[in-house]
Amino acid sequence: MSEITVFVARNIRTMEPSLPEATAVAVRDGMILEVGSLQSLRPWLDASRHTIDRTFEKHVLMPGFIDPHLHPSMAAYLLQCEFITAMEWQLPDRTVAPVRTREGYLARLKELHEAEPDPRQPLFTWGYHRDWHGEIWRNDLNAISRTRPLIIVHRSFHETIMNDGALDYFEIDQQKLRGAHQVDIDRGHFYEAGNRHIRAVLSAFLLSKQRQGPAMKRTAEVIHLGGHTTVGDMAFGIFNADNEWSASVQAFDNDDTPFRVEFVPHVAFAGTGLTMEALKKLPERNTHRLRFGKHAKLFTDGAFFSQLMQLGGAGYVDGHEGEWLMPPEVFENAARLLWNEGYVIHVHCTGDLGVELALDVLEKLQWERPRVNHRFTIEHFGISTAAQARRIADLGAIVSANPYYVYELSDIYAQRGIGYERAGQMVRLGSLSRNGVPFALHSDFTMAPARPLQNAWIALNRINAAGDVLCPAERASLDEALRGITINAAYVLGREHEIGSICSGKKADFTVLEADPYETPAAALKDIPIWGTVFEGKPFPLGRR
Amino acid sequence: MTGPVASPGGIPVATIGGYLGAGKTTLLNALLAADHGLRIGVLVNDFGAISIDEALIEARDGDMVALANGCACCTVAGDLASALDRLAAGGRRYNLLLVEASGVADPARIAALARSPGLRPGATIVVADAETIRERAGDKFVGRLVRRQLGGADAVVLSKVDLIDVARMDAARAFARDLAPDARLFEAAQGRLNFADLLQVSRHEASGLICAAVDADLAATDLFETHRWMARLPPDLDRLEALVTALPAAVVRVKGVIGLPDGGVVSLQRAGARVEVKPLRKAAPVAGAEIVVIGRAGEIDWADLDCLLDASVIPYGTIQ
Repeated sequence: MSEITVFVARNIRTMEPSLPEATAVAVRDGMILEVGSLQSLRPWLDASRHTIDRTFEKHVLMPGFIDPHLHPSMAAYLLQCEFITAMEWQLPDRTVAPVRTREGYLARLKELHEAEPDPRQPLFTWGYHRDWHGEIWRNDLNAISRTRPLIIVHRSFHETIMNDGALDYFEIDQQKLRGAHQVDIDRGHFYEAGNRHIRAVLSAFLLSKQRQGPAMKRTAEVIHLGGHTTVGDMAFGIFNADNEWSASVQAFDNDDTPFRVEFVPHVAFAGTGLTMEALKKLPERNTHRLRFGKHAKLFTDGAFFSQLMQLGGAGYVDGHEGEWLMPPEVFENAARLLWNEGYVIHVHCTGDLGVELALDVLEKLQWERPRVNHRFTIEHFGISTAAQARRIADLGAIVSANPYYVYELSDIYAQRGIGYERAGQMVRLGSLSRNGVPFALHSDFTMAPARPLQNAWIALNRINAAGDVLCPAERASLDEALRGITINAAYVLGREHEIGSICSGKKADFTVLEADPYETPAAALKDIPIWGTVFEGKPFPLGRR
Repeated sequence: MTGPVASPGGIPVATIGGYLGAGKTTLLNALLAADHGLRIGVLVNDFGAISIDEALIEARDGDMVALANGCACCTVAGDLASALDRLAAGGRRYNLLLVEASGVADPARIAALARSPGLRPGATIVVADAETIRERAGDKFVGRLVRRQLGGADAVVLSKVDLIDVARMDAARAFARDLAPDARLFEAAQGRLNFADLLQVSRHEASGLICAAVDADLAATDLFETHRWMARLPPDLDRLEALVTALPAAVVRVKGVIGLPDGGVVSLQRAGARVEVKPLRKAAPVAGAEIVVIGRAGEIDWADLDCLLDASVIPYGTIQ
């Protein structure tokens, strides 16, 4: 039998109400034997060989953070871009400070250009947004360099802007594209469908064999940086199941990876994608770090970041309409198949009409074939009504919410989108709390930074990027916010018996903090430095992997 | 003069939309097999539902099935815009591309993708199940979508008309007319309908020739026949008016839209014996003319009528 390691800490926040605080935790073979104090651990220590590890003597241990909803394979593209963003983003090698002016954007781009010695190396940037950075076109990029390929990828991924160097490098036929739909070649601008003229060459470049591997490794660094020890890939197979699996195995399935991935496959059963038979077979692939459970992902309405969520009632201020990602009947049929097979169903719902559809179908399925402990999960939970929060409770559903919407979008959506009342109440965690609905917090990375402490901070404070406090009645408490990134996130993934809290028998996954969240002012929660993590008993300090 | 109109500026791209179960696939299947003399490229989301008679298949190549009648069917592998470009640039020269829109798409948005070199937007055809159209349009989740789809249609095909009784059919027709007042109304049973007319409509952009509305109550019964005459050059209005006035009494209704050499647009109507010509001030410019004639079944030789009306068209040489 292996030796016991005892980690001693200034404080251990177990997230177990029965024993909320401790100072020592005994670990063997990646499993927690017991949490308590050096004194209470005596029966173990007297009986076995052990080491006392005092590395974390001045630190605070929490259960390893869990993001139950992000997209590791989508990150490969994004993480090859330099970030010039209106919001702060933390990356493994640096923190990207917000840039919110045109001059600032161009100055930063010039700096990045001058820092790269190879004059032919394409420079991709991501994060440009006209609301913050004004108009920047081909000539503005040419003023920085006419020869180095410069490519701006818009915050939304729906627009691309290129300079002369990039148009030449990627051999774009400018004559042919003059006047093409949603292309303004003189401005080097490709938007919406116009992106078709460049998508293939850019993807071939960014997702080449030589580049994709390192990009996935960088994704692993981003996940580690947030303090995660478990993440959920909440739409496995949405592009190409085989590619996603092989890229994940190559990048994550090794002992250097300080986290595990719970894969939740995307299904529709509408003639394309995974069949029920293929879905049932997926767990046969499970490895130590990469696992499929009995979970599946469905979609109702459109993207929150593109204002394509389906809104009931008053709709959008400008009268435009949201979208259905799955036709309601297709959604219902897929949900019924999964429900009757005993799957946990996760539903992407961004607007209140999307939530309504999910709940109507859940109620129908409960009537047809009652199930207990079904954990039907509303994912994202952007716009909803107070009545729906109550109905979620009535139907025994749970929520995995993206609080980052409040931070980046509430101000813009109030002014240009849906008005103040609904924008102010987006992601209504307080209503869930009042109705006793368990909820987790997620990033949906790459949609938002994969930073659990930042998400907990938003849930706790509801402060947006403009500095306004939005609807304090919809705040979560500190304990609820921290449960949202630990035990409740484990509950959403169906792993609460193994991870999410620190207690005897669970995986020895810890996030090591430099300060105690319960003793930190609410406004500073997001700024608590992370030392690193412990994954199944093995310490992984940040930046020293 | 009822043949296909030339397509300056690229291949027309028409969209077939309509909510789930409306009958889009049945229509497309019938269209691919029908003898209409046009080379049509059909883009579908998924081959699964398309059933093509093996005897008609000339070649298969990955995402594409080429048929002996000159048509082809191809799946949209992810990116519709690229699929359209592939078809436009391919070796076959199509008269028309037809895109099957997903049941929850707004077909009018898809039409915008046709604004690309070698292509031009055609009409938006929306298929609606005659039996369920009212229920769909009132649905809590998709009602607005269904109403928006119909509102943006240039042609509405009411499907499955053989499955409901006359009273419900009348109600469905009136309902469709109400939601899509500017659209041509077609009726289909098991994918069978007047393809020649539908395809003619499909090749025109929404803002191009506006098809005159057919009186649904007349066109719907076995007692009457509907015929369309089109010209791609402007007719002499006075001559056309005289010709229409002189049409036999078996013609019960005439409606048309006519583009004039000076760029103006007028409507022409005949109800009973009365003919009326009115300027359409808000209409988009129209090149040529389009007239719908309804007559008592079996009493009119439509080929003769075409020749008669063709005489109104001003020969090339006289246009300056």
